[in-house]
Amino acid sequence: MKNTIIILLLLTNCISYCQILDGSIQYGIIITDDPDFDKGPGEEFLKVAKESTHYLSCTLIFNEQQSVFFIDEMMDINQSNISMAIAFSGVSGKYYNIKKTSLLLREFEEEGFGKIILQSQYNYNWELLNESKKIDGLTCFKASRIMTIDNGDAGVFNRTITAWYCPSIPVPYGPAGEGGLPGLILELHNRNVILGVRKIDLNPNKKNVITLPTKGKWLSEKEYSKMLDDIINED
Amino acid sequence: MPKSLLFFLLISFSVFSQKTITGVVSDSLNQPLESANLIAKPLQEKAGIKFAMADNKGRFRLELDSHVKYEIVVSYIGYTQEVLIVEPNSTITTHNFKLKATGENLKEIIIKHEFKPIIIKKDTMTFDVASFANGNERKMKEILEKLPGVEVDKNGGVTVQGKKVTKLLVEGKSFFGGGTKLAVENIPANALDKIEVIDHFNEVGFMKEVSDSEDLAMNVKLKEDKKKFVFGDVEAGAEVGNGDNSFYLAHAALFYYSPKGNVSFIGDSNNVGRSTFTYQDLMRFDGGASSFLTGRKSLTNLYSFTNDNTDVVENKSHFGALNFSYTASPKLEISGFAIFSKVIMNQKLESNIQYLQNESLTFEKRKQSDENKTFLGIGNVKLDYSPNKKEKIYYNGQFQSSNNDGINLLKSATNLNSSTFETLQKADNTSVKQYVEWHKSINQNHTTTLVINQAFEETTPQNTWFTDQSFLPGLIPLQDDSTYTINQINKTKNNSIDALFKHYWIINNFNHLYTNVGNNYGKSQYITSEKQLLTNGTVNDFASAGFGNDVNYQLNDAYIGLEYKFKIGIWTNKPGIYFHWYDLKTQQFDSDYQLSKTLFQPQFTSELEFNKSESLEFNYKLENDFPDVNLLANNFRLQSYNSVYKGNALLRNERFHNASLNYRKMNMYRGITWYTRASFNKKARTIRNDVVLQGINQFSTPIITDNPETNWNFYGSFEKKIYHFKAGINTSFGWFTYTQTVNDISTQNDRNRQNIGVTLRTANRKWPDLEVGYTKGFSAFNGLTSSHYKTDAFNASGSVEFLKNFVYKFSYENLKNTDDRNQTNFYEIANTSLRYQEKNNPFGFEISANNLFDNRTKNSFSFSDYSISNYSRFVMPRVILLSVSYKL
Repeated sequence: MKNTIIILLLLTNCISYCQILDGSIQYGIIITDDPDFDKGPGEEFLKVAKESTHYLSCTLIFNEQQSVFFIDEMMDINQSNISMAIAFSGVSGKYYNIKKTSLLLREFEEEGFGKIILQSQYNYNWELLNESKKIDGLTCFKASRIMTIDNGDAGVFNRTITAWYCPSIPVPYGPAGEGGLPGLILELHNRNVILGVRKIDLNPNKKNVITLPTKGKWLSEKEYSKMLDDIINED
Repeated sequence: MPKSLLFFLLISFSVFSQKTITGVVSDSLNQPLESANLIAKPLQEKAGIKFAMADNKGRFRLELDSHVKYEIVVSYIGYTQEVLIVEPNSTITTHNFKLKATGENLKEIIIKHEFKPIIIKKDTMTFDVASFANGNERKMKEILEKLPGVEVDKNGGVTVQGKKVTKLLVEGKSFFGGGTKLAVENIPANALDKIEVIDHFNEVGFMKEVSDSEDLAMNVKLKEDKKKFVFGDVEAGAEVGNGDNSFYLAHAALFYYSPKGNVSFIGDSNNVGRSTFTYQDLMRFDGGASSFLTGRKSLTNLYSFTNDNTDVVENKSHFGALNFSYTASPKLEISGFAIFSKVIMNQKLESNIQYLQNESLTFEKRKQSDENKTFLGIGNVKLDYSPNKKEKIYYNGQFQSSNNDGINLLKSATNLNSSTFETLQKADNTSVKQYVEWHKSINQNHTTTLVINQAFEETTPQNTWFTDQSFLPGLIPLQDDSTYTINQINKTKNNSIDALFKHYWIINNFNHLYTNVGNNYGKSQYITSEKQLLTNGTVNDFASAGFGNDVNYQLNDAYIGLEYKFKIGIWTNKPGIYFHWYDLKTQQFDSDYQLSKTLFQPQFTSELEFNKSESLEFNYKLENDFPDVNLLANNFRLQSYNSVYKGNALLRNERFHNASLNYRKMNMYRGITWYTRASFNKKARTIRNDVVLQGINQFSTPIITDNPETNWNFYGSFEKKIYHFKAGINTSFGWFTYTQTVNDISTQNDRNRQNIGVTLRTANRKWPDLEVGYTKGFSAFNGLTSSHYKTDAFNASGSVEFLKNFVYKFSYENLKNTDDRNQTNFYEIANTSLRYQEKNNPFGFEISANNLFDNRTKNSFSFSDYSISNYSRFVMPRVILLSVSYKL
């Protein structure tokens, strides 16, 4: 029993301050086709978005305590195709993963409401699958999790999120607030959007400084849903 | 975290037989590799992956199932991985891994891998229609209501277990480009085989309001033999009540659906001035959102068909429109429409006009009535071709032909004399227009677009004037006769081709360089002629007196422009400079004229985006405008019963500055929206008409002057949500100053207007829709004389649903004009309707009254360059209709 406790303590300690690498990773966005539903209302917008995602790039910066992920800001090219691509990518604002508390903060601006900071937990129940592949020589394993969306009244729907993580990069982070896997997530599939790694920059000697957001309205997911529902239902 | 770990440990100790491997991961110098990952891949079926992490001293503890064969891989970037195979039932308890450094640089590892989508198993619910239907249902809506958890609201919206269906597809494709309503209310129930409800994944993030909730798609699978069907609505109405004007309306909207293509038809025949198209019809015909997205201009203006036109005495129209779309292949989409319209319209206008000149004011009382018959035919075809991911080609071609026959009767009375004119008008118009757009993405940093526009148009208006008295004395070479008949034949032919090549260079995220190279070429032929047909059979050709034009005109505009867009913080700027080489040539009877100019046209756009809800934008442009052929035609031309015009072949271009400033702000928490816009236009060089005025007779010639003209406009609106209402206030101001020459005397004139309005409307879904508004306006004209007008306008409208099946609608507006002598005129128009529609019943009934108070005229006033008029337009009398609609 004593041994068990010691082991427990050791493992706990290990997990709380293991990762030592700092770095910055660049991802690209790809919006893919769905062979079943290639047309529908909003299809024109989707077409424009798909064509413009190759201009976008996202950055993940991490250090020992936390990581931050965001789409690199860039100007629109002629008509608003960049804004459309960002809108369809599902990535909105900046995602901060705080390792110690498993807290995920999403800082974004809602038109008409101002800055909002959404809090949630990111200790996900990943299922590690026995599937592996190589991405440019880096061995990655597949993991998936079910994201449950509670729509308040009776609608509870599940969405499968799939990630390919690389155990040789021992960093428990990933794009769009995903993380908690034994390795950096190099490829993330969320519905028809793929976030795939483009550049890896690890610098064990330099320390990245990440400041957490402070200004904004702090809301939980439920509070945010309700805020939007109120506005929609009123009109 | 510790809690779940404890749980895991307990489980693993108690249930399965486990073995534990411990050890240390280090490099070749025996330095521990902190946080190195160990992944144990099972080499047999039905076993899970295990993993462990090394601590800060490189120590790990890996729990494995005893009876499974594993391949344990220890990897760390920058080191070669180590593998250990563990046989099932092996007794190994410790192992140390030593990793050798590869010496590779960990900085800037570029990944070129091409990421591909994975097939995700979707959460699907399939309903077999046969098990829920009883065979008596007519439309899909009734079937849906029988499915468990599915609800359909009165607007055709579908929800499944409380979650809204945002995408409704039939056989995997969108249904007539519309939302759920069209499909749900029209697809025949007996054509349905299965209904699938699917966890759908397009439009993530786009509909920001629902970004955190789930989107649902509903896919309808049709029975094999019922994949083609027809549906629609027909409506017919006739006059009821005391009137005997034989008012009627008939409208049909029919749709034919088949998996590869579909056709829709709209037919309308009415004499109550009702619009023939709804806004949804317009979207479907005009190609939906794509034109809005890409900024392409439409070749036709179908918008006019969506407006009612009751400001006429009579309006009899017959209309037919056909629209089709066909998917030839996944890369090629073809769509098009054909429109046929015949309109017979009668208009009546009475005006009092005051002509401003230095010696004396002339007053004219004018009574006009027009009867027009117009035939219009339009054929339009669109091709959308995407050969690959990087290229896209779009083509739109249109043919349009119309002819117009009219009789115009005009009575003009001044204090000196009065006369009557009757004009027979005939105008034919043919046009062919084409538009091609080719878009190609060369690579990450370069994109190109080529746009070519071609247009051909020919108009041949002919007028025959009949009058009993001589007119335009001294201005036309009229020979005395008992009655006068003048024949006027005009022809205009325009041919143009515009090409524009755009290149976008994305230097980096915050610096772009856009290059535009283009050429606009236009060629016109303009012919006018007037002849007097005397009662004795001879012809007096005005050409001998300098009338009649035959002009050939070519204008070429070759240009190159550079725009540099850059962003610093929240401030985005786009300065640009264009060089234009203009070449204008005209050939007329007596002279050939050429004008060549190289002109700079700078422009500048600047935007401050404080945040997503607040922004300030500034725009400036310097533009040049070259005159059209009719301004250069330098022989006399009879324009109307009281005006003669002579062009000026020596005209040059107008030059003007345009600037605007926009501000907008939105605050949803307080329900506030702000929008203001200020714009400024200054013409440094203007073309304005030099007028010689004798009584009501005008002779005008355009001249180019350096007299500046300035135009200021300001518009502001503010809206706030208060409880369940939205209250708004809006203002608009305008100042326009210009110099007008009349009878050789130049005066500076200005026209001003100020309007301020308030509105109040309900903003709650459960309440009836009601809106009231009041606007106060001031208009002034200052020049040789001063004139002021005040307007008071009030409007109210609303729609109420009651007793489940009834909808009552009403609208009311009134307008009062007050001039500076405090004389007023006033009119009010009220429309109302009551509709009865039972749920799922194909029949609907409506009784409507337009112009309930039987108001016959609408009064207004207007200022022109040198005259002020107030006028009464005759409108349609009261129309009370009872109509029945049937859903096929």
